[in-house]
Amino acid sequence: MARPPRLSSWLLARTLGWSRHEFLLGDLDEEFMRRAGRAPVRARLWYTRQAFLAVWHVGFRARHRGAAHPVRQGDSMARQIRADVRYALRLLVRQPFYSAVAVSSLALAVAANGLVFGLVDNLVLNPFSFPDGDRLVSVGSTFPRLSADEGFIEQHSPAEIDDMRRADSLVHVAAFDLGNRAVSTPTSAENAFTALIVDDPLPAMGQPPALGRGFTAEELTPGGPSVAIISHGLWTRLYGAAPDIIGRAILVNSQARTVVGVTARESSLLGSDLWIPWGGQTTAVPRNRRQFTVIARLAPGVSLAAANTELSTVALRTTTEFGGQFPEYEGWRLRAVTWTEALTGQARGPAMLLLGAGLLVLLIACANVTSLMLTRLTARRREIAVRLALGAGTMQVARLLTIESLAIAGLATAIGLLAAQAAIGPVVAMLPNQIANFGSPEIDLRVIGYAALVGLLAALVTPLVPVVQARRPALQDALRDGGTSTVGRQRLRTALVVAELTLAVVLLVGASLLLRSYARIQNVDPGFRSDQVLTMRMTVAWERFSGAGAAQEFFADFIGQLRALPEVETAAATSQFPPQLSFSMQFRVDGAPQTTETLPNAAVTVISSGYFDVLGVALRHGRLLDDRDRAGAPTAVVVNEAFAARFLDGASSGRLLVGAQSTAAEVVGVVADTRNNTLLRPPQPEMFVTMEQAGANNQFFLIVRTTTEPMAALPAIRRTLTAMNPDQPLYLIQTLDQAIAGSLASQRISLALVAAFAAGALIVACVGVYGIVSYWVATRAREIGIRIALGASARQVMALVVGETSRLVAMGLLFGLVGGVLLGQLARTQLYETTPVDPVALAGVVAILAFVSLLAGYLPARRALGVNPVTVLRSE
Amino acid sequence: MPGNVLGEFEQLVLLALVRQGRDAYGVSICQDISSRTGRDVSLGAVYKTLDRLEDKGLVQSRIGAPTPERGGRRKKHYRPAAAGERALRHSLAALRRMTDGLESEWKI
Repeated sequence: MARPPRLSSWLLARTLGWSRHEFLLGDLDEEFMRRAGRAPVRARLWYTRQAFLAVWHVGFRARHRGAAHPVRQGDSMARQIRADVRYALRLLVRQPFYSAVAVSSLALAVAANGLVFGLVDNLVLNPFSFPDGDRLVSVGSTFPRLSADEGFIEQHSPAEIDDMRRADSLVHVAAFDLGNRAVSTPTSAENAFTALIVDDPLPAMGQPPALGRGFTAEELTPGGPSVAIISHGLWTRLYGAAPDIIGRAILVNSQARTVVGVTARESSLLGSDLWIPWGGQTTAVPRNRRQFTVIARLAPGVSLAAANTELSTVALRTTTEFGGQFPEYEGWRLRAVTWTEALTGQARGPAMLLLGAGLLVLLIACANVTSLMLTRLTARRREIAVRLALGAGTMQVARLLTIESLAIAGLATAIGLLAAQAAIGPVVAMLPNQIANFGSPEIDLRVIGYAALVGLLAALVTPLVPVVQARRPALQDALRDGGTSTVGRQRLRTALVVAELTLAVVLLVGASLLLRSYARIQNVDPGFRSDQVLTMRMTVAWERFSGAGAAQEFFADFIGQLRALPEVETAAATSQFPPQLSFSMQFRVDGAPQTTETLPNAAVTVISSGYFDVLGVALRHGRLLDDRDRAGAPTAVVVNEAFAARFLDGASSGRLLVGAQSTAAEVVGVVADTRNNTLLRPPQPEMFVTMEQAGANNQFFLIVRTTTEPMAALPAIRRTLTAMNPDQPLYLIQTLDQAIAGSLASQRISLALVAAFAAGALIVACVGVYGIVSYWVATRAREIGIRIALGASARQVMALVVGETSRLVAMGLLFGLVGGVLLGQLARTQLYETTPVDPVALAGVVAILAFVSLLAGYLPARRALGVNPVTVLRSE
Repeated sequence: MPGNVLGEFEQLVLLALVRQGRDAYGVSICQDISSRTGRDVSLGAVYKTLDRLEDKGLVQSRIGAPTPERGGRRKKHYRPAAAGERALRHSLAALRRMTDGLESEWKI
C-alpha cells in the first residue's frame, strides 16, 4: 500500500494535533490513497502541497489568533523555557510593528558598536597578533633638555641600546633601523620599506617565520654574507608565493641577496617588507647618533612596572657616566611600554571617544526597547495579572520578558552585524594608507563576540524596568479591566523618552561640533596651492650613488627632464612638504643670548630649486635659494615668517649655527608661512636649505605641478624615469590634495561615525517620541473629544498635542545640551577652533531636534484631530 | 439585518454543501469548488472555513466510522444548517438585487 510522503506527514503530525484535526488528516490520507492508485507521483506532490497549505491555514495562523501560552504546571524547566521561547517568537510575529521598531533600533546600535569595535580593536587595541603580545615591548626615550616628547621609533643609538641590555628584566632586545630599498624583478621595480637589522628580532616577536629562518650571528656581523628576509606580502606579491624562494637570490638595490626566510603572514615589523642586516660596526656609531628602534620581551615573571624601575636606574647610570660629555643626558628617561601602545597610543583618545559614542547609541536603543515593552505591557497587563494570580512567580514573568528581549536582541545582533559588515568596507576606504597598512579592520570573531556581548547586555537591561512594573499593578485593578491606573508607568515612559532625547542630543552636539570644526579646517588657508600637484617619493640606491653629490645630481637631472614634459609646469625635490613635516633640528642664532639651556628647534626642509614655485609660496624679503647655493659655497638658508618673527626679531637676515656640528648658515630670505604642522596648528618655524648644501641624502619627495589632472601626468613621469634608470621605483604616489585629506583622516572618520550615530540616535529617539505622544493622545481621547464637542478648533487641539511633544523635547534638549557641552570638554582635543559651547553648532542642534521631533508628534496630532466626540463619549 | 454576513469563500463552501446533499465532506467540497470556479482551493482553507461556519451554527456535521484508508481516522460529513441556508439566501438575494437593472453581462 502507498504511503504519504514522510516529511509532510511528519510536519502535519508535529503541527496539527490528532484530536483537533482528525478529519482533515483523515481526508488527506484517504484522498492520497485514491490518487496514488492512478498517478503515484502526482499524488505525492498533491499531498505535500496540501500538507504545507494546511499547516499554514489551520496550524500556524489559527494558533496565533489565540496565542495561548502553552506552559502547564508541572512541566520541566527546559520544557517551560522552550514554551516561553515559542511564545516570545509568536508574539514577535504577531506584532510586526513593535518587533520591527525594537529589532531595528537595537540592530542599529549593534551595527554602530560592531563597526567601531572592529575599527578600534583591529587598528588601536589589538592590531598585532604576536604570541603573548602584551609582553612584547618597545623602549621610549625622553630627553627633557631637548623636548618633552617621548620617542619610540628611530630614537636610540647602539650605545644606548647596549645600556638597556644591562636591564635583566628585558630579554631578546633587538635593534633595527628603517629605510627604503628597491627590490627589482625582471619585469618590475618596487620600493620596499626596509628594516635594517642589528639583532634578529624574531625571538622577541615570538612568531616563527613562515619559511626558512631568522638571521644568524654571522650574517649580522659587518661583511657577512649578503642575505635577506622578506615579508609574506612581498613574497606573494613579487614572487607568486614560490615555495622554493629560500636560497634564491633577489635583487635589492640591484645587488643579489640570498633569501633565508619569509616572515609569517600575521607578523609585521612596523609594516616592513624587507629585512637586511644593518651591516655597520655598532661600536663605531657615536652615542648621540640616535636612529635605531628597539623591540624586546619582558623577562619571564617580570612585570612592566618592574622593568621600568630597572630601566630608570639604567638611565641614571648613563646620565652619571656620560652626562659631562653629552649634556642632553640630564634627566634622561627610559620607559618600556607594550609594542601596541608604543605604536597606537596616540590613537587611543579618538578611539575611546568613538567607543563611547557607540555605547550611547546602545543606551538609547535600550531605552527605546524598554519603553516599547512598557507600552506593550500596559496592553498585556491583564495577561500578566492573570499569570500572577494563577501563581506565576515574578521569576517566571521575568523569564518570559527576558526571553522576549533575548529573541529581539538575538535577531538585532545578527542584522546589526550584517550591517556592520556592509559598512566597514567604505569606512576602511576612508583610512589613509599608512593606517590601513597597519591592520586590516574586519568583522572578525572578536567583533562578533563584542557585538554578542553588547546584544546580551541590551537583552538583560531592557526587561529590568518592565519586570518591576509588571509586579506592581494591583491585581484586582488590572483584572477588573478598564482600570486607568497607569499614571506611574506613563511617567516612567516619559522619563525614558526624555533620556533617549537627552542622549541623542548629546550625540548631535558632538556631531555638530565635529562638523563645525571640520568646516573650519576646510576653510583654513594652508598658505600653499594644493591643486594640480602630484607628490611621490624616490629612494635611490646609495650603493650606486655613493660619490659626494651623486644622488643630488641624479635628482636634479630627473627634475630637469620632468620640467621639459608638456604635462609638467614645474617640479622640485624636497625632503618633506606641508601640511606635515617630521624632520627638525636644533640650532641657535649666532650672537643671540642663550636664554634657556634647551636649544630651539625648527623644521629643516631640504629642497631643490623650484620648490616655492610648485607650492606657490611667496617670497617676503631677500632672495630664494638658487644655483649659487651649491656644494662648497657658504651655506644659505631661507626661513619662513614664523621663524623670522620668533628667532630673528622680525629681521630678514641673520647667522645661524645649525645641528650637532653647529654648521654656520646665513639667512638670505624670508618666505610666507604655510600650515606645515598639520592644517590644525599654527605654522611652526621652518628653515630651507638646498639639497646640494645639506649633504648626503638619497631619498626625496618629488613635487610636480602639472598642466593636466595630476594623476594623468604619472605615465609620462614614469617613462622619463625608466629611460634614466629602469630599476628605480617611485612610491607614496598621491596628489597633494590627497595628502591633505590623509592628514585629516582621523577628523573625517570621527565626524562620519559620530554623525551617523547621531542620525541613528535621532531616529530611534523620534520613534520613542512618536510612541509616547500617540499613547498620550489615545489615553486623552475622551478629553480631546469633549474639547472638540465644546467647540475647540483644530488649531487648539493641535496646540494641545504639540505642547505635550514640546514639553518632552524641551526637557531632552535642556539635559542634552548641558551633557553635550560637558562631554564636549572631553572631546576638546578633537576640535579645531571650536569651543564646546559654539553657538552655531548648538543652535543647529536645537533646530534639527525641534523639527524632527515635532514631525514625530505630527501624526498623533492628526489622529487627535480625527477624534469623533460622539464615538468617544458613547464608548464610556 | 440578520447577524450573519457571509464572506465570499463561505458562500462558495455553503453552495457546495447545498449542491452535494448529505454526503459532502472536505475533499468533495474542495474538488467541487475547484472544478467549477477554476480556483486553486486547499483542503486546509476549506476546513478552516467549515470550522468557522460550524462555530457560527451555519453548518451541521455527522461523524462517520474510521476506515483503514484514513489511517484509522473518522470522517466528518457536513450539510447546511437552516441558519446557513437562510444566510446564503440573503447573500444571494442581495447580490441579485444589486445586479437588477444592470445590463445582461452583469446578470447572475
